[in-house]
Amino acid sequence: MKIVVFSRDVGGEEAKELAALLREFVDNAEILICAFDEVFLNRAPEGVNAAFVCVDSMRALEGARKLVRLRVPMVFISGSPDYAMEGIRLNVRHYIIRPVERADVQTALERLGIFAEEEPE
Amino acid sequence: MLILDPMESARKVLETLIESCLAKDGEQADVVNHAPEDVFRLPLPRDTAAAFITINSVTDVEAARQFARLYETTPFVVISDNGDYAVEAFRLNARHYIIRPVGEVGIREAVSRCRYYVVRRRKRSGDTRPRTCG
Repeated sequence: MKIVVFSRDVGGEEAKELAALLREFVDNAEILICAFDEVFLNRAPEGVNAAFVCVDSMRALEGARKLVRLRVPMVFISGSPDYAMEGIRLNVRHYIIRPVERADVQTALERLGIFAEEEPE
Repeated sequence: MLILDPMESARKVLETLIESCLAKDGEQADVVNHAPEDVFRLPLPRDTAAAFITINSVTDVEAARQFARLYETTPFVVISDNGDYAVEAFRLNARHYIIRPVGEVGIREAVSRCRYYVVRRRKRSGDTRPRTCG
């Protein structure tokens, strides 16, 4: 199981805390934190089962569109509802508005089919 | 298929659109429509394959929440005049969100997402009986 957190601030607290939460929920998962540049440079990790994408800019949205083409199921994380409609269009599984709570991550993992509730795509 | 919309005329238009859209794809849909408040007082059809719920007000959100509570496994699609309720749609686990005007493309995408959801759930539960969502 490989889950990637895409953030423009790969060393930031949010990405680290989210990765820690994901490790708590998913046993034996490989949790990676990546910058969007990796997606644009076609260096995104292979075999990704799910991505948590911090979307707060058009560049992040472009990265998310590229992940759709790679058929990676996604969850959006944002500070505002501004990207929710684009999330619907891209068929993302869940949309979390900051601050990211433990329950949000659990719901997201359920909808991704990683944590008990649903099967992954 | 179930439609929840406060306006009777809108319900009728949507009903006709869904029926004609699915008919073009060679499928027959049994479409029923109700006012949103009916979800609080009437037993809605238990065999509903998918629902189209209009949300343009807080009252509509309450009706959608009630639907999601009562019919947890039934996929539904939100229809709205704007994108204001998109985050709420995520919270309710709606399968799709269509901004009016509703067209055939939107209906087809919505039905496709609902169908996929049903297949996925059934696969998880080990139930392999054929079932249509339209």
